[in-house]
Amino acid sequence: MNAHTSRRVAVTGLGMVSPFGGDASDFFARMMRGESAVRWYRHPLTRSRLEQPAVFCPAFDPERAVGRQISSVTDRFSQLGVAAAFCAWDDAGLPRDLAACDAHGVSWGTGIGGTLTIEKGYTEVYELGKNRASPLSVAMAMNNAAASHIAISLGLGGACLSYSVACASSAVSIGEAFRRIQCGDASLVIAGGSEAPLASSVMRAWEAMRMVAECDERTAPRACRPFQAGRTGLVLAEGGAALVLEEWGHACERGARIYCELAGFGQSCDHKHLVRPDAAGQVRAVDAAMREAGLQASDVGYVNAHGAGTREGDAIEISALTAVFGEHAGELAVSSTKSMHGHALGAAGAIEALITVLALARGEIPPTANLEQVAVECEGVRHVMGAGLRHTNLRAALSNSFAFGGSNAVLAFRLAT
Amino acid sequence: MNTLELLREFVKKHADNPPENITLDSKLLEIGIDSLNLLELLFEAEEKFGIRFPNDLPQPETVGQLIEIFDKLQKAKTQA
Repeated sequence: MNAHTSRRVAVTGLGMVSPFGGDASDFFARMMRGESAVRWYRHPLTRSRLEQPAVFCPAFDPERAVGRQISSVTDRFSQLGVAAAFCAWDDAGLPRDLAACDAHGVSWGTGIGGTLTIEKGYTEVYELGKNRASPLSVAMAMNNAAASHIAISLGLGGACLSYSVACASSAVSIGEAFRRIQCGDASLVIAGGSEAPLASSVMRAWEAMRMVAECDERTAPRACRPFQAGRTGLVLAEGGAALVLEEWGHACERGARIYCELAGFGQSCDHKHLVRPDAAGQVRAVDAAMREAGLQASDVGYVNAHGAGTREGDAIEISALTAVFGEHAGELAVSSTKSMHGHALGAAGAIEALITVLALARGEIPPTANLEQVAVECEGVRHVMGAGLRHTNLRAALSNSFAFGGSNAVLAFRLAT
Repeated sequence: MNTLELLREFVKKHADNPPENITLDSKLLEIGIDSLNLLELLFEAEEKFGIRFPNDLPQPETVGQLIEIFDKLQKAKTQA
């Protein structure tokens, strides 16, 4: 896509369900303080003891956030998604009763959709011996349920799309929304993702892959330590986040506040291995996003890294960044906010895009929490630690999302000019 | 619990603004029961009253029509 001939895309609204209970602004302030939302999570329903560090949203009240009519017929992943979308819509100054419009759409991401509903159905059939499942099982569990409820609630009559690209799902959903606006198919798209992965089968599965950070109840908040020497893994998280993306003229005409421009989207597939990332594939995605946004290495002031906290993944991402940024890599501020909000799988890209947008808009870069000694294999960039960076002259920033399956998605944002 | 009480409980649990008064003339859509949660209501009624709705159930529009279907099935069950 040629940046000079396509339509520009503005970010005009941000919304989320925060594990801290407040709004996106409060969430970002806590990220800047290096505050961890990771807690020790005891699964409430399993007979066998199931405990892990995790990020959850205890203050989230689905009925209050999305109404009883929706909350009573939806899986938690949809509830988190609709709530985040409503917040972004309000933040963009759009009235909830705006007339339905065919030029407005939804682009959503989720890795595992309504797993809690599926797990409940299996429990009833296999464990409790029931011979029937709830008639709402299909409508609650389907991966596009969140997107559809958002479209129905807000009268969005354009394309209603759902992407499932593992941990890059919502970076892809945002990037594909960007494409639809660029090419003229839509003037406004609400894009983001949601995930509710704290189902016992999902927690057990990640445990079995030996990818969950090691800790105990006391040390849980410090369990996720991306780029740290001796890091032990990731922390599962639930959550939802949304961005309102608008064609530039559309945003200006209605006098919308513009946070920044989404200027580039790079995608690639490693085509090497299902779960082992490859630096060359990541390099291609970062390069593509920067090229489309017209950014040189020296223009990019911050990268919100994928940085899940895994032994292999973190090192490979840094080697990709040093390859792309060359002599500028040592100056490039990099942090992984997953150290604080955990890994929300299909919602991770949207949460991190929201953080990247606020970092740009405020000139503040959040740190990688719990990072004290950078691992040798993760050296080569300017790791942001401690209290983060304030009063920066940030003009452009990237958000990386690298998924199982080898799918890479990179979003390039820049300040409005 | 009779069928009207079941319906009132259900509406209280599912509707954003459950109406004070539900009468036989109330339209299902107006009291917050659409085709999706009607499925769940039928499921609950089947569990509670041991009845079975046929797949080709006519789509009821009012509370009265729904209760008539409930009662007919319950009566058929008692007579069986």
